[in-house]
Amino acid sequence: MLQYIINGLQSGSWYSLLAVSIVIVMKASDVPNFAVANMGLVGAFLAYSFVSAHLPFGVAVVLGLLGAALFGVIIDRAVIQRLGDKGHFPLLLMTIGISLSLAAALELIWGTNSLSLNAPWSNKTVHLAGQIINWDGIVTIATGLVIAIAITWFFHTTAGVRMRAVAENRSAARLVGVRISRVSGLAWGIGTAVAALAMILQTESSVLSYTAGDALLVPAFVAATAAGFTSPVGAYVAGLVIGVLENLTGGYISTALQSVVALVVVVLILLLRPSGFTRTALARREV
Amino acid sequence: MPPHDLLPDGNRRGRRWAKLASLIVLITLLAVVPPAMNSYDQYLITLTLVYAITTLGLNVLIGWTGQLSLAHAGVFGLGAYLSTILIQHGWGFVPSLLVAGLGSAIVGGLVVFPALRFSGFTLAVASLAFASVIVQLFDNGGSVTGGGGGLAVPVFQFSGLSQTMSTYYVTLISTVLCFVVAHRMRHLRFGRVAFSIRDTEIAAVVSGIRVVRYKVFVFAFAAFLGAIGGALYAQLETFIFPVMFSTNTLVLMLVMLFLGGASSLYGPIFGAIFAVVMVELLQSFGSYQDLLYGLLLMLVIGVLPGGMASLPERLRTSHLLGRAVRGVASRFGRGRQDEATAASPVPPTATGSSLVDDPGDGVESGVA
Repeated sequence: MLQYIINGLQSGSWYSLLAVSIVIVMKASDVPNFAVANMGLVGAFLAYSFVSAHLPFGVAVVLGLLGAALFGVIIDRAVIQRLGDKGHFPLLLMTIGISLSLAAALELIWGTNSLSLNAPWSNKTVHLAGQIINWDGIVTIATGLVIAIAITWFFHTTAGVRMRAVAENRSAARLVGVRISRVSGLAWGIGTAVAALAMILQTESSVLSYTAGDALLVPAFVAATAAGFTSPVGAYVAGLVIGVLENLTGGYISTALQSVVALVVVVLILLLRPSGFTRTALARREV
Repeated sequence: MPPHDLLPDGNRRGRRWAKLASLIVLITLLAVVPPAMNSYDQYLITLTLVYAITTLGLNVLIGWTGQLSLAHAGVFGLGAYLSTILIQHGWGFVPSLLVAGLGSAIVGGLVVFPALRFSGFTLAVASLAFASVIVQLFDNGGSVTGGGGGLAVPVFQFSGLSQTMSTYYVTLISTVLCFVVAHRMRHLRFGRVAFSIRDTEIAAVVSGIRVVRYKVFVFAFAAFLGAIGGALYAQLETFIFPVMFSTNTLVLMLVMLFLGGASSLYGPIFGAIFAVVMVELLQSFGSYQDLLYGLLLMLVIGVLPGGMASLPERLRTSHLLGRAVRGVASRFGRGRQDEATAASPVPPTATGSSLVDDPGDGVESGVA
């Protein structure tokens, strides 16, 4: 039981981080970023290359995250902002196009073989309350929590408030002097770095390949939906819940049913709170 | 584009006959030429038509009615599996095709329940999860669906024709029927209601339109088209397995829809041609083909957000090319009409967004 819950919290943390990234990007650009997992993979592959170049793991991860953030800013400047006033659907399709291109590019650059990104704590375990627990599980859960708190704090800083203002009312924010393009770049940078963190944590505990993001995308989007695409804390909690439910279902009922959990969660959301579970989501609805 | 034909227009009848004649020529060519082709080209043409029918279903949902439902790949698979299972149990091909279509329409109609409560991205995620459950069913259906290994499809065959040609003719007939029905629906009350639900749902409700009833119908009709496409796809591929109906297929459908031009009637055909032709052309680039496909997709979305169906309008209204085209056109006595467009007070930017049509379109017809 405890083992399932810890494993669930671990995979849930990956979903949570991706969902938080989706929410951040949604706030600034009003587009569901379907490329989130593959953009995060860019950071993971960069970190792998830095580790291969004999840099210490911590330095490699930081460089990978910075690279991912830069990549996010570039994508925003070069592609997303150019489509800014063309409506939702071209933007949405563009994120799909980015995702396809990225998967192909990652495959070309780093090959089709599964690589292993080894952290200092990989394959090490600790005995806790009679259970053997992997260190990467603990690190993942702790990182997820820290990021969730950090992002929540960020939304209360000046830059974060600007971002929320843009999400609430784009033209009003522009009228009071918020530079939309700067906010957008910041959101894509932070969002991509958070996604990269999720993918580094995920690939570090399994294998690194260009298809690593595919399985994470649907649960992450379900988590973001549960938060009404507005609340990072809501997205974080929803991601954890989905992860734990998936692992409990897989452990006690059937592994085939695991992916159905996401659907059940969606149906529950639809029935109970169509606009998400969190207070901000409700507030937005009233506006 | 909004239906031009609804507006008073002197040229309307003549243009309609010209259109009809060219369509008949096109269909005749499609009926006569393929037997002379090699079987791989026959396969490609059939695939294009299958994609066109399927994407037409998605277009009715997303392009016309504005319901961002992403369950279409699942429904496509449902049509493929249902028809195949029925044929395996001794049903004839045509009844199984229709029953698969109607059965999927009922299942597809289920998606409407989340759709009635909300719209936009929430519906997108809910319907995506719905589709993933359908594919899970294929995967875990035991001997009925063949599990991950899939099912061999008993292929329908006209006597005296090859398998591919039989499938081709069935597909061609289905395509013509589906597009004729869609054309009628688009230009009658249904189309206008669909567009009004898409653009201003509240206004539609206030005008006394029973939006719920229309949405149920739209979802069922889209699922019907998707399932017919799926059943024909199964015939064409002769073997089906769950991965064929995964998210990748959905992405392909979205690409065809938006590249072809969402909300345009014939957009799905352009999109299907693009998808098939590009995959064939890029095959020679080996491992670079996926990357090129992705980049090309990004390029086309960036340059042509309204899709390929918006290309003529775009050319006509662009500064340089537009002037040249108008110059040529005026020599053939169409100048007055097109100058009117150029001088219209509303800048015709219909290509700006694939989903918001420009009211300036009417000016052209009004003057002529």
